Amino acid sequence: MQDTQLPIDLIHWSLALLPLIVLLILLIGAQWKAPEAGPIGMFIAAGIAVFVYQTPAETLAIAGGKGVWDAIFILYVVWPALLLYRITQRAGGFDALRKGIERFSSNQLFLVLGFGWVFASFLQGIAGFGAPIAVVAPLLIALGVRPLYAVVIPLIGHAWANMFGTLAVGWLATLQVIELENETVTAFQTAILLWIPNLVSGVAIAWLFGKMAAVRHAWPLILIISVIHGGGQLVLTLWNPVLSTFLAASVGLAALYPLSRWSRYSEEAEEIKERPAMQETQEEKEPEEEANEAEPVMNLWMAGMPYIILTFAAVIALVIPPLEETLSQFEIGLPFAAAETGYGVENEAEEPYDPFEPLTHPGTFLLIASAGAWAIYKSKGFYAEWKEREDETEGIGSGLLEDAVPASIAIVAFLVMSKLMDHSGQTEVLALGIAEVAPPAVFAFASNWIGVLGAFMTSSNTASNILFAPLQQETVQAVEGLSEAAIIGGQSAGGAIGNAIAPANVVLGTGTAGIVGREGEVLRKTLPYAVVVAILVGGLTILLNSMNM
Amino acid sequence: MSKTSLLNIALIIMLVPFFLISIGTTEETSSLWWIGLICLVIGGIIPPVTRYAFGESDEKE
Repeated sequence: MQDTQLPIDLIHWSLALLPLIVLLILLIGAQWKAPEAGPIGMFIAAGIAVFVYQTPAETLAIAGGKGVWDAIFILYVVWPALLLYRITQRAGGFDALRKGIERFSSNQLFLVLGFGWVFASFLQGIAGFGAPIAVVAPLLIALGVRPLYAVVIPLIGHAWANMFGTLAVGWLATLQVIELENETVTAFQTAILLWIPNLVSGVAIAWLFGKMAAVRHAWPLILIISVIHGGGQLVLTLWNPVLSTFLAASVGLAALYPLSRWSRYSEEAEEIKERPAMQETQEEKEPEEEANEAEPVMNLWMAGMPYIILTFAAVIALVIPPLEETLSQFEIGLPFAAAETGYGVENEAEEPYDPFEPLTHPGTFLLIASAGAWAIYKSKGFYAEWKEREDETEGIGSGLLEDAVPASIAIVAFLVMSKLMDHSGQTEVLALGIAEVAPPAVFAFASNWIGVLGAFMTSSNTASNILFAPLQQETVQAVEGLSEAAIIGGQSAGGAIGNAIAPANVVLGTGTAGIVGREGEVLRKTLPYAVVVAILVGGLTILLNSMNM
Repeated sequence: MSKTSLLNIALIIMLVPFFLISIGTTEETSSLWWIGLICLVIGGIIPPVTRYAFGESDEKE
């Protein structure tokens, strides 16, 4: 953190919080759509920057330009994910996927946990940038999950994997901005804390599916997968934090096959009567109706082809070091001049600013999967067959703009708001305000809430740690009774949890699920999860902090 | 003009500033970054305005 003349008082702190509060009120309370609420938050942040935080117009412009650039990283997942959805859907791929998987296991709860938690975690382990939400939401809808729940479930399911996911980009960024006393101990304690969101996400998804009856049915599965995910990641951080989530999530995915052979999870769970997450319950589906369902146009293998291509493309490009290094060399980015405010908040000139590596970005893997799937489905005649059967008149591109544009506006507005708050010093005041008044135990509890705040604003565990890890470390050094490993662990775990409620992530899901405008409803379901997990992580951070001292 | 068309225009107007502001601030051409900033403001105003101009028409599940 730099030396500034920022006033750390209640008025400035409250005003810095105002854009976030207004955004939440508009989304959750007033039920505004994200593309309408996002710009309001952006304008409030800009107004406070100018009138309260002495931010000149040029700094506003620079923050705005950088925010737009940050949004492009996410838009490059949203648009290809929507394209992949349409390429698969218009060929009858989702119909085939649902019918094929139902033959494999007729246990809906197992499938929802398998896709919404285990597969989403696997995608976060390798791809990230919102790909788990954008890819899994349409898959869950195909399995019969209500669109609202199809967004909520991967948001919750993937969150724990954010810190060490995407080949530990968040961890590596943290090491770039702070020098840790003991990297291994910090990574290990972070992994201890991350086990909580992992375990709770399994329970929460089962609860969302069918309340306590579903939790009772799913508990062995949840425990086994959580030991693989959370325990695996914990042990692996001692060896290689970069691969810890990827390997743990891959083993979790592989474990689904033997679990699906267990009669408990291969057959439908009749005892779960109430299924609020599902569009159609077993009782509603008549046996004759089931028998009369037409055969899918393709087999399960073909239906899963886009996701197989996606996984292979990501693994080959990112896990083979020489290839990853070669592909990473191609970067795009534009420079920005230095920016400062009247309170002395400075941002250095950057040339280029946060360069974009398109060849290792998940958007490219989604485009490769889209192109591959389209070529295969076209050559096999699936589009013509599905069109004839379903009387489908809409092409692949139809409706793409209607879904992608509102989601894109919201994402741009959220990221610009985040950058405005950062460049004007509002973000720093928010964090410093907490650090200034909190005694050690309270700060230990609050450290992960600061991480949550950072991820809520930026939709990124990495950005949250870049923003706040230096502040957390400075507080540790200034206040007696704080342990660096526990506090940085708390920050990192909070950064992961915040991804479940980050508005840009929510919009990414509502955009690909075709329910843009229902962001408030999604947040009402993910917010309780985030609060419960943050309280538990805060408590464990206090314990770790006291054990380290 | 339909709401969809207006939102398409808003998105384009919001994306343009990145280039203008980058060039404007590094080349010290203030008119460019000012245009970029104004674009961002106009692009940002359009979506909330459509809320009132077109009302809420999306059906609930």
